Amino acid sequence: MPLRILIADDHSIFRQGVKALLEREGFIVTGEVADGHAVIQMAAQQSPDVVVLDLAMPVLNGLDAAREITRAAPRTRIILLTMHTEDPYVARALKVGIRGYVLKSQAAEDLVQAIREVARGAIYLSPGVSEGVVEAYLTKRDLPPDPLTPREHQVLQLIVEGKTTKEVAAFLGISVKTAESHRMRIMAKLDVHETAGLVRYAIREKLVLP
Amino acid sequence: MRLPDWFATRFGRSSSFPRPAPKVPRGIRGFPHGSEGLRLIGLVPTFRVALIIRAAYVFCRPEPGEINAVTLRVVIADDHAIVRQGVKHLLEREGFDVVAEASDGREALKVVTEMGPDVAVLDLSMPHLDGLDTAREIAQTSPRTRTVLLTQHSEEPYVVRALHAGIKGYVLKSQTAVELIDAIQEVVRGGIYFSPRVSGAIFHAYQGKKEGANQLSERERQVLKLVADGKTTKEVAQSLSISVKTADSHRSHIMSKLNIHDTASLVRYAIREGLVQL
Repeated sequence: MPLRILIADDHSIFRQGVKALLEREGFIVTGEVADGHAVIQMAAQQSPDVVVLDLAMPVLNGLDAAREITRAAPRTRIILLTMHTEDPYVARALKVGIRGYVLKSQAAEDLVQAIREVARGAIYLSPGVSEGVVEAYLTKRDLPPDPLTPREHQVLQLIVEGKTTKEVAAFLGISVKTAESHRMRIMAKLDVHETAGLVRYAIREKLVLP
Repeated sequence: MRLPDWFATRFGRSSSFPRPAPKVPRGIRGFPHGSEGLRLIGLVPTFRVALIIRAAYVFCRPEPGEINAVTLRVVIADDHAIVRQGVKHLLEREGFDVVAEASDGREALKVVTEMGPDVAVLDLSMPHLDGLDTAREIAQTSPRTRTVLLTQHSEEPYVVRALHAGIKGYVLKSQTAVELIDAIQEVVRGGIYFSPRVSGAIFHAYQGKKEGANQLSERERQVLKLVADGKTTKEVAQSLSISVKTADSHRSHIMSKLNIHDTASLVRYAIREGLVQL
């Protein structure tokens, strides 16, 4: 049976291109979505064999979305499709349950191979990144623990995208008071005291692109 | 039976690409692909089939030189291979001839200069030479080639720079392939296609030009930097020895010039522009 694939990327042209390339290879593309929130919902509905996720997406970034998908659709394998090669990402990606790591600079054939690998239970790492992973393993560098909870990541990303506390609350279906207390806790944890500082932190941590 | 390439080009699966009206009756046009054609084969004696196929070829064959007029030659430049392959596939499906791909600006300039395509689709951020500088060079080395910029940025300064670089088409990556195709066709006709989502920026730029100030002034850049550093309006005023009211009006000018309406986006813009360090 052909593999069922879900694609998430905020650039329509790119999504359409990947979709066309995958369909040519005989995969079934069950859906395409433009943000990290929508992909969780659709993955939960469809439980596709593989989700191809962009790292930098509006509303919720690929890593945080991946963590939620592994909960919402446990049998779905996740591939991160990104332009970043730095190993902190790769380590973080593996930690949240991502099985494939493909660079956008690779060829479409590599993505196809990655999909086949992860679908049969293996792990696929782009040649450009596996070196970093091995090195990280050899030197046993542990990731610094993430100070923020997944919920706080979500709130932070929405703030950085210019949403007011009220809009954040409405989007997440929580009270304004709760949203505000998330915001205060994030600022306290990061020792940051203004929006500009939150934006710089989120970009530095690659939660969002500048 | 393998159809010649020009056949697939003219009668590909999609119907959205406006092609010249075919010179063959409908039945024959659909014949090589469709199930109707197969039923037809059952009805006619075998020896006639070859004749019909031959006739279809003769009818469909373009005049010498006509292929070039119909099939637009396109070069794609983007440093991400998967993106490039995807765009290439989408364009080829619509009947365009993607004559070359390039993975950076310098390579793009080289192949465009050699091949003189109708259109070069350029990514904005590429290694060695960015999309705008590449477009500027292409205007010199291959004047007949129109350039289309494919980017994720919609703020005014990018749009203004694109206009100055001689870019004829400005398409956002969040748009669909249909819009990229529209843009390519429009620029080939000698027109200009800028994404509807940047029309506000063009309007602002035009207004600004009349006042001679479509870019941020030196003072405004200073204010923007301080805002991105996390300073409040009051602190900005103190640090530049201006009144709070003046600082505040600088801030709102900056926002209106950039068409940005919240602090977070202002900070992101300043980071992109390298005004502040992370």
